[in-house]
Amino acid sequence: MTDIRTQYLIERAIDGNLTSEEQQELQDLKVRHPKLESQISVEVNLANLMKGQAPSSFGPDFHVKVIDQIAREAESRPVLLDTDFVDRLWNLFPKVGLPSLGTACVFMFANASAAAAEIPIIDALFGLPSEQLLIFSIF
Amino acid sequence: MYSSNVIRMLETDSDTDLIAAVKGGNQRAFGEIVRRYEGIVASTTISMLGPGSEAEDAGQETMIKLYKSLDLFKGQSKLSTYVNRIAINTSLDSLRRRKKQMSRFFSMTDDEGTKWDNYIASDSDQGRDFELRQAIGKAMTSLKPEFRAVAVLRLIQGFSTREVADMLGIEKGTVLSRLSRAKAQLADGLREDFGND
Repeated sequence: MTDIRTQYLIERAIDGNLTSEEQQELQDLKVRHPKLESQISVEVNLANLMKGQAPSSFGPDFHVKVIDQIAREAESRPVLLDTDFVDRLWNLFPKVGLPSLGTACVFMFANASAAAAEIPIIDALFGLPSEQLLIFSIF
Repeated sequence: MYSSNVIRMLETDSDTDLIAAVKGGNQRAFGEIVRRYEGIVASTTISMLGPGSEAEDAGQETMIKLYKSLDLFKGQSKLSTYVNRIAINTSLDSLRRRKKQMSRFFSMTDDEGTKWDNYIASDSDQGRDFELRQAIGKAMTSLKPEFRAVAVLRLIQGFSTREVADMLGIEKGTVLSRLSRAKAQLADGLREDFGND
């Protein structure tokens, strides 16, 4: 087994990151240990051979399974008013007034599974100009 | 449903933009992260656990953990490093569970070797690359989990020894000594399959 310092120098050599001092140190080591040269070449070959050589896909259903699982978890999670949400409501208040703000909240809680929806309803409401939001609140 | 324009926008968004969108509740953005990092997660969990349902379960678990922990991700490392850290530790947990469940009845190495023997490639995987992957996979099974983790991160994923140490929460010197032993074992294993080239 190679000592840690030598292994460090080999890894640096593989990455092409040797400083000139390290290069000299490795050269000196090769003189003292003639087998090191062939060991380095084996390790470089191994690194080149193995890089990126692994199956890189789980199959076509993986994406859907992950998203489904996240949606299920979101549905079962209680609706929480995080600080970001409260800040956004607070900033909206002077713009649209209490009735619309109330409507936005009703929609948010009526869609308790909103976290699982593709766009949370509140985002859609916040994107509307205040006049449209007021009209929307009538319904 | 989202328009194709929105989907195209997500595909071109940076990781930082996608993370911000997920934090804002946009699940479609997380879907794009899954699409982007499935390859990295698959190569890590399959190299650690062998092909099959166990690796895919670990892959799903990795993605769920990523989703739940995105609030904690401060962008100090690349997202690929963060994802890999979760994937490798999830795989190690899975190996520990497997060892507890099976070691009394089966040899873990034999079980993993069989998985690689049964590994059926898709059309695009056929040929020498497939044989090589299979040989590397089988050689990996000869390594103890802690050596395997170092080999996967350094040799297959190409992380630096410093990054590997950070991901596994061990000293850099430990990474280097494990790497030295793992490489010697892998080289022996691959020589058996591919001769002395």
